[in-house]
Amino acid sequence: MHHDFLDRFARLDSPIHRLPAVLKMASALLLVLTVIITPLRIIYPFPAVALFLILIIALSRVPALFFLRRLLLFEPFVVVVAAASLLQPAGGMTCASIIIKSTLSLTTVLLMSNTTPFTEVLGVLRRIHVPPAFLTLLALMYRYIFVLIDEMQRMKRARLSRTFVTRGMRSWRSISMITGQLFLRSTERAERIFAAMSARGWK
Amino acid sequence: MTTAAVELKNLCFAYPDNRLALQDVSLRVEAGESVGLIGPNGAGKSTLLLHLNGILPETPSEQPSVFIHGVPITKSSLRQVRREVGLLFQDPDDQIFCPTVYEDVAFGPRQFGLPEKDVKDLVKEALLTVGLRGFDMRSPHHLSSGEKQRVCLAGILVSRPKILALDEPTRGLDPRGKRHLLSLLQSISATKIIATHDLELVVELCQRAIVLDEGKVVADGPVLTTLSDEELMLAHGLEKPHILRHSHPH
Repeated sequence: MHHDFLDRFARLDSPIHRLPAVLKMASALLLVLTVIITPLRIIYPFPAVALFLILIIALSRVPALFFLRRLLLFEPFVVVVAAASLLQPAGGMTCASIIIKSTLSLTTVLLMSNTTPFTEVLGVLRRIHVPPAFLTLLALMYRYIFVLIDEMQRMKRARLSRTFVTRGMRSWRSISMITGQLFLRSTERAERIFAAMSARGWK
Repeated sequence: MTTAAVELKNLCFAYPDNRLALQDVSLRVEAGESVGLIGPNGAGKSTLLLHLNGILPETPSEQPSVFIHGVPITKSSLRQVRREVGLLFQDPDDQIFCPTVYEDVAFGPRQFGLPEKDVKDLVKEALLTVGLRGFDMRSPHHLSSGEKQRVCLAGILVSRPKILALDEPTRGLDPRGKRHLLSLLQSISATKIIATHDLELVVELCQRAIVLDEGKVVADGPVLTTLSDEELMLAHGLEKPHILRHSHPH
């Protein structure tokens, strides 16, 4: 089972992919900051940023549909927060601001992470002297998120193969059981990983 | 008497739940020997291997019962011991913890403080040895089980250990992967201790077999005599391997 939902297209070959990682990360950061800081009443930068992002997406050869799908995945959170802002006086502007700014920032980050392999991101972080403990944590997280998803899928399959009722209380119970199991298995795996790291000289 | 590569003196170990995993285990493995460690599930094979480079007990005991090349495993000798003993874990996903193959194989040498240039050469050589040239930048989660297993081995061999402790090295391998592993292990001159249920591997690779059951050594002798002892094998959840049943070639 292969999962690459995080950075499925990070290893494509395109003019954008070939750019140095540090450049992509710096410009993504700069772009996100600009988008956040610029007040919404100055209208014209926003369509410009959107156009720029669309251009980069086209150049990167990552399917546009992929970005749309990913955005849809995150947008509910944005919408909830934006809707809450409608409750305050003159909330319309804040609401629009939250939606537009979040969408642009999300697209930027998605674009960056899907045109830059994660190991290169780590390399850049190392060069700008991010504390090693934090880097190790990030690297381990990236490595094991796939293992965890595989494990969850295997358990889900095993459950389905012996499940005859797929709705109601019973299915909720088995879902909670799987979650608990996954937690147990992860802590046990963490211990084994630590042993494996120690065995090769980790200190 | 010369110093043994590995010596256990009255090794006992109980897990936190008080389950006794090893009871008074004493044995010597000479340098260059290949020893098969066999026994039923839960016999204590993995637990024993974890003692060989000080993963267990979690805090080195006051009276060490494990000696590597004559040196007792204590807090101060731990680093040196871990360099000398390469431990292969059962599940490759536990052992490959870095985002790329290169990083993972380079982990050991980097921990021991080698300069990056030497690390690079060592990693290249280790990947070549296990037949994974050009896999440097691959992500572990896109590898097959056999490839993962070989990355694990490369990650151990890169530190040039004098002793290899392998836990179920053929688990999950197809026959081709198994053959490859066998010839690879045969070409390495280190002392080998292999915990396995794969008795054919033991017959082909080892001169000596140790049978462990319920945390105790119940037999220790030449492979052919031990594994041919049908009564002993059956009593401890094993069986006489097929290749020893027939003397004629198939």
